[in-house]
Amino acid sequence: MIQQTLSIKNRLGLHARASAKVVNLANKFGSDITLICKGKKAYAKSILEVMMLGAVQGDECQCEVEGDDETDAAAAMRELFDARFGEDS
Amino acid sequence: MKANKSNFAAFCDSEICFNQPASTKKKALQQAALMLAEGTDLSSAQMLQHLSKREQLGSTFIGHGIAIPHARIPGIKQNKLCYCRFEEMIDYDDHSAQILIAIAFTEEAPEEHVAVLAKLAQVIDNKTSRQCLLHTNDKSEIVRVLSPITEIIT
Repeated sequence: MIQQTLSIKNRLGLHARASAKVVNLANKFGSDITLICKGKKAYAKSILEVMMLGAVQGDECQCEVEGDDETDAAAAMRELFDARFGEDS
Repeated sequence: MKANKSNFAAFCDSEICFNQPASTKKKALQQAALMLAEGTDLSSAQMLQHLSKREQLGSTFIGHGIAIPHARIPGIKQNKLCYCRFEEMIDYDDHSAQILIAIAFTEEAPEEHVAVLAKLAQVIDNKTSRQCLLHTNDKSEIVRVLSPITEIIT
């Protein structure tokens, strides 16, 4: 299992569209991906669970990835968070 | 900046409709836009434009036959929520949706925006409240289930 800390850098946080991007990316991998933020835990392949985190700019999420493609999945998740979910600010 | 009270227009019977005819996503969004525009300075056409533009960035279908069209709307003073159930399932970006829970957000307050969506997701994720959203014909039940979303304070 890979564990990493991901920061929410975009101004709007994990709003619906950013959450959808997390879910779409997570679904490209076979690994189980879990996000833990402010004591709440979300399965990264569930849009409802990711939105329920209510993560805002400045929050940190623990990301746990487990499965055959965990190395690629963890790197891809980090890239998405670092790229502010493709948002400008 | 912390707001000390929620920034939602009142959510009551007039923001709820059942059994609306709609055969397409566009018509469903038109109905939601009409309801959201009520009481604002925007026309329903302008409201529809904002909702449609947001949908183009990515579908707001969220599972369980429910979509949550929403947008940040320049010029509105309060957030507004509406609930709309259609007579039949609509093709919503290759998913089947029968219910729209639509929100017009003010432009600022990103923390409030995320908190509102998180609460909405929680309501939809909860089996009891979801069954109510899907099946009840009693508007007061919809008000009871969705009101917590409009009472978010950040």
